[in-house]
Amino acid sequence: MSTIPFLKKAQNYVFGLTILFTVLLANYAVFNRYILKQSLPWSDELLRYMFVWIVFIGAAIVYKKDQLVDLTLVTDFAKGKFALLLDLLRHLLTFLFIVMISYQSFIIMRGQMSTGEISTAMEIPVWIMTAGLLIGGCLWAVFAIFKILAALRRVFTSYD
Amino acid sequence: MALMILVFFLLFLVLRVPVVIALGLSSLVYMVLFMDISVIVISQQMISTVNTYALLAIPFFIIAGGLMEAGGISNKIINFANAAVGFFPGGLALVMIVSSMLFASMSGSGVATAAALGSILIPAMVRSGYDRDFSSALQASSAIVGPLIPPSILAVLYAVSVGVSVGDLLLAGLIPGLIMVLCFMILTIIISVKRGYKSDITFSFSRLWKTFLEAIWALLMPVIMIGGIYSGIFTPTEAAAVGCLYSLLVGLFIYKGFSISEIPNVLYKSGLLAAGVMAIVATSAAFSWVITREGLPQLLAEFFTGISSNQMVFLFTAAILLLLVGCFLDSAPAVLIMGPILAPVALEFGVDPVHFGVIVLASMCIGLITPPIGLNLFVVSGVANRPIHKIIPEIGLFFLAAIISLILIILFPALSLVLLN
Amino acid sequence: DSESASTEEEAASGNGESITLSASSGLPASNPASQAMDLMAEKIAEYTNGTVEVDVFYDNQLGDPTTLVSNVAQGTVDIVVTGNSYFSGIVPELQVFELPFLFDSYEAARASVDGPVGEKLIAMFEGTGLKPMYFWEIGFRHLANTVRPVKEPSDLEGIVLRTLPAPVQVKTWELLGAQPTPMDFSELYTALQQGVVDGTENPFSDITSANLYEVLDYISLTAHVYTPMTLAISEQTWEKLDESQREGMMRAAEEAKEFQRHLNDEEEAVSIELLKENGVTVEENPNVEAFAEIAVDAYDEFIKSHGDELIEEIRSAQ
Ligand code: NA
Ligand code: NA
Repeated sequence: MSTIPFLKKAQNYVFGLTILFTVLLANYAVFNRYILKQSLPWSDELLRYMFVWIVFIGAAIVYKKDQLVDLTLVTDFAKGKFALLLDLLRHLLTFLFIVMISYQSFIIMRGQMSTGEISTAMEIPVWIMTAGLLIGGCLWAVFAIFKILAALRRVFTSYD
Repeated sequence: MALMILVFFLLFLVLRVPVVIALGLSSLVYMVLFMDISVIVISQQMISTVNTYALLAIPFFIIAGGLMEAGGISNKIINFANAAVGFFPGGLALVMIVSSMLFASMSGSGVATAAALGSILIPAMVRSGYDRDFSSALQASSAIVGPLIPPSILAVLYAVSVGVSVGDLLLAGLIPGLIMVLCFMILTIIISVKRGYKSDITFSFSRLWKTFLEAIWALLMPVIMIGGIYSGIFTPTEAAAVGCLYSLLVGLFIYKGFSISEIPNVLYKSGLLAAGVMAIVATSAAFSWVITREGLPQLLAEFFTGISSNQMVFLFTAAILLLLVGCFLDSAPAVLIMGPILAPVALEFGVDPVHFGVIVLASMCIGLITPPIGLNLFVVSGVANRPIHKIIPEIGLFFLAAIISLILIILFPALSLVLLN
Repeated sequence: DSESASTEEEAASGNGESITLSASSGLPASNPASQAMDLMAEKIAEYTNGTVEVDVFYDNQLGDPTTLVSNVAQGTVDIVVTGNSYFSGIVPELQVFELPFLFDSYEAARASVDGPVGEKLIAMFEGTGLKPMYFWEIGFRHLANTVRPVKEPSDLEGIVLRTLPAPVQVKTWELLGAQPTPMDFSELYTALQQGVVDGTENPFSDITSANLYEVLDYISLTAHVYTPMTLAISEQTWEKLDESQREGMMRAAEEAKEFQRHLNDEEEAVSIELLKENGVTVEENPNVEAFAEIAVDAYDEFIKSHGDELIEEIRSAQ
């Protein structure tokens, strides 16, 4: 079990340092243009691509932590087993959507691989950017499975 | 038929499906049931939205907000604000309105403003004894003047898509924006007197001076950002990233709110907040795409413009239409969709195109706080860690104040046009 | 999915059922490309006896140009017309149109994209999900700035110039002595206004539709690059159409192409006047030969990866 906290800490570090890199890169681009009089053609594109990864992987982590914005207005009134079933349902719906967009992003990626589409500035394959949604989506789906299993366990161990 | 997508969305919201999923899932279900188009478009829209350069300002401002909070900048600002106006009833609330106005005029985006200031000022107001939901609602509302007060990403979008002068429209939004601020301030003072939001401090000049000196590094941040933009050193989007670096350095070396080893963790937390907000922007783009593809905005426009031939009647029905659209669309796509539809009609009614542009912008600003899709509500709900439905009742009066200013903007074209002559 | 399976069985062409298509240029309704798109939709209905209807969307209603191209490749939007640079990630040879001073007149440029060169490029789209129909145009690009009149390349010294981030363009302006700075078009107006950049190189349509003349002081009619647009339909959509529908669509698309070029010609004449009225100093005769002589070294960037065959073919035809 001691590897889990370590992995979690490593995850936080990698994510945090990635954010730090984007901040420094954006400032470095300004510094280059204004002070060194030498603009970076690739920084905007790299930032955009990095944020595709950051946003979808980050959103998956926020989901895992139960911190995504939602509306508890109605579910607050649900009681007992019904409340547990509602909880199960919302994670199932989340799972359904995430699996769908992950699959579709895979299709998009496959298309981009087969046409060999490359980006304008860095001239790298465009599928590398699309992979951010696929990876984030897969991570999100895994978290959803854990939540569904936990919800099922609660449904079957609760007594009205 | 197109209205069914809204029904699905509300259903999923009620089931407590996260907003980001509910937006995408309702688009998905609607497309599967009613459209003969591959649902792959949802993923395409999500990716292309996050992959938009101008929107990078949003995560960067959220991250800057996180750094300011962790680094202790927020505390210094609040101490200073308290010393300056804290002795008034609702003093800190007034500070929130004024700083939102200043901040929004740097970022050009209402959402980024709500995110960056909300994470600092809402906790501060709660610590000073304000109701958390009131504070959240005030933050969501006071940030909506962002797109009116120049510079404004939304004004540029509208002017470009409709073909009016960008420079004129930017300038024209200034006074209407200040009027909205004024309405919020009057309302806040009334509420604060009624609820007894008063202060336990009295005014002292030495205290003001002391807190000013302590806060000088924090107060310099907007000066650097505004100065940087207006002297041509960086763009508004880059200013957000410069703000991040500045608050990182000030938090690290001057206020010492965190050490070097704590940086990754601080950035991890604010990065997650940014990711959550941007994911909502991403799925709302898919939602907007479906609504647009189904022709809903055009249908509404035809309906509303068929009502009367009177100019004022047209302007008010147009504003109502825009408010309704603003309930369900984010402001950028809403402006891009409704602007080109309504602007030619406005011209036929003899409305000044710049004046009409200001009306569109003001209506869209209000859309940021109207449920069910009000991005400022989502953002504030996230940074204040409060359920949306607790905040919404507190929005009511601010919505009213915004509507009153919108009515003034419609009735008196001079408010928009006086600076141009 | 069942639909795509059935079209495969029918191999060459679809069954000619009535169909409604979506089309977009990603540009305002007033732009020549959008107006030509409107005309094309009208003509398509006429030539296909109403069996093909086209809904035209303006601005970024269905997504920005990058997204539109990917939408059409995936079949979620049917028709797109947009600048060639948005397709050059898929067919990099289209970057030939980014080479400076390749064409010396509209006649030459149009003949080239309508002729064997255009056909060769269209053939390269095979298997990408996109079927180009014709090349429309954004037009010749000119050099504008806020600092000083530019007649000679040396006048560009130190000017921070907004360009696309494509390597050929960056190289071109470096050679010419400017500081090429890639920047999103959405930020260009305020960047020029505040002085983050000093200049830009755009066709008239961009300068007028984005009101850039308000914040520009000088323009030199360098006509350094001719930018075509690719009008493309989704291959998936194309497979659903029968022969007569396809013929009707091509006919409509060609007429719309002529109309679009005609509108462009008209607009250019008006644009120059508009710029002058707004206080922009127009340099009608910059030393184009001097610019071309220096910029020709940028061709190496293109030749390195794609050879000089296309360039020679374009040159020999002029
Ligand atoms: Na603003
Ligand atoms: Na709204």
